Amino acid sequence: MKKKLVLVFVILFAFLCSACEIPREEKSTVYSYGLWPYYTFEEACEVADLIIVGTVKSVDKTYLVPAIQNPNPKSPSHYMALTDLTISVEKTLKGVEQKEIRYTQEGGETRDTIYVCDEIYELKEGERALLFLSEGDSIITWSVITNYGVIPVDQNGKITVSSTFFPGKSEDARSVQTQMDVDAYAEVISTYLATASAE
Amino acid sequence: MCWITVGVSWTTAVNSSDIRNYLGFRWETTPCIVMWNCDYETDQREAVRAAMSEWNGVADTDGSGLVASYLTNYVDSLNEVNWAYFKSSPIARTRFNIVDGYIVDATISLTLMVDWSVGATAGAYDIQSAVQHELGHVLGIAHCHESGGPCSLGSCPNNVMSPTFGTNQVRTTLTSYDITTYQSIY
Ligand SMILES: [Zn+2]
Repeated sequence: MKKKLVLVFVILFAFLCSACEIPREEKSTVYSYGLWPYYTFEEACEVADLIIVGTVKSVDKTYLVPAIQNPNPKSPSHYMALTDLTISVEKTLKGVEQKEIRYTQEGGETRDTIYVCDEIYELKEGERALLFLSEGDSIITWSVITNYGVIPVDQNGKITVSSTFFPGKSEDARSVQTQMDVDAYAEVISTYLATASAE
Repeated sequence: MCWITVGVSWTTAVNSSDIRNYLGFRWETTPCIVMWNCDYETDQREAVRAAMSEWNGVADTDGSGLVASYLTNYVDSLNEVNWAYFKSSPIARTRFNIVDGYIVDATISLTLMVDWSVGATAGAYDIQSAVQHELGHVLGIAHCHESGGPCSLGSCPNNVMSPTFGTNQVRTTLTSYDITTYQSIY
């Protein structure tokens, strides 16, 4: 009886240990810098399969996939971290309307490593965003077309967007960050898409 | 089917907390070697070598002469440049592992989901420009930014270390931003 009890405790302890996270400050960090495709506003509207405004309903656990062929398990930089998000769609500006979509975001945190992606806004649960997405493959679901294809919406419904990321503005010599209502920007996109498809 | 593998084998990197989050990170001593160990086109290999030469041509300020000399040989190692076969938004990526503020491991991947070219070609990305950008990251250099960083002028897209890059474009001339950032780190 005593032996059994000890065994139960050992198993329980092993289970708890395997589940316990390393303190954040002790985790190692893998940084990921991307070279992102440059798209004008018009190209981005063309390239994106889906343009939506939505809110992050839930964020799944981060998982790792090999970033290159024949990865070496000892080398964390041979893997990329992906996190799947469920997004409730409130507005579909381009593409097939869906109530919810799964969006794969690069970066995240595992038991022992923090994966940081430069240049891209990391969405969290409850956050609202305007997204330029392209259809995924067997590994990822929907992915962002380029680093400025995730545009977070603040509490007041405002977004910050480059002044060159508007129809006919890509040639402007200098870009300034401008703040505007997400609904107004969505209208700019819809109007442009309607004109482009009519041509 | 053609793919490239370039490996880089490194020694330990030095902690550079003052420049971290701003200009980038660094290795302590010379990361030694870069390799190709699989199929590639000769002109692609030469393009990558040319990218290495550009960085090798920059003088480092600490006078060690080591950092700029590592990109010339080819051996097998843990750290690689490789084609990536999955769908990925960026056309190329450098991942590096930081332990205690030191770079200890770096890998470059280039997506096969886009067309690559040697030189400016419509609808394709110039391989030297992309690899030169990624090698800048391997050295530890961060992106320049349009605002908030040292690269606040309209010239940002001209820098090799600018985060975006278009098709039918060649960007292989290291700008003063690229060079001074490298020299601030080393
Ligand atoms: Zn980059």
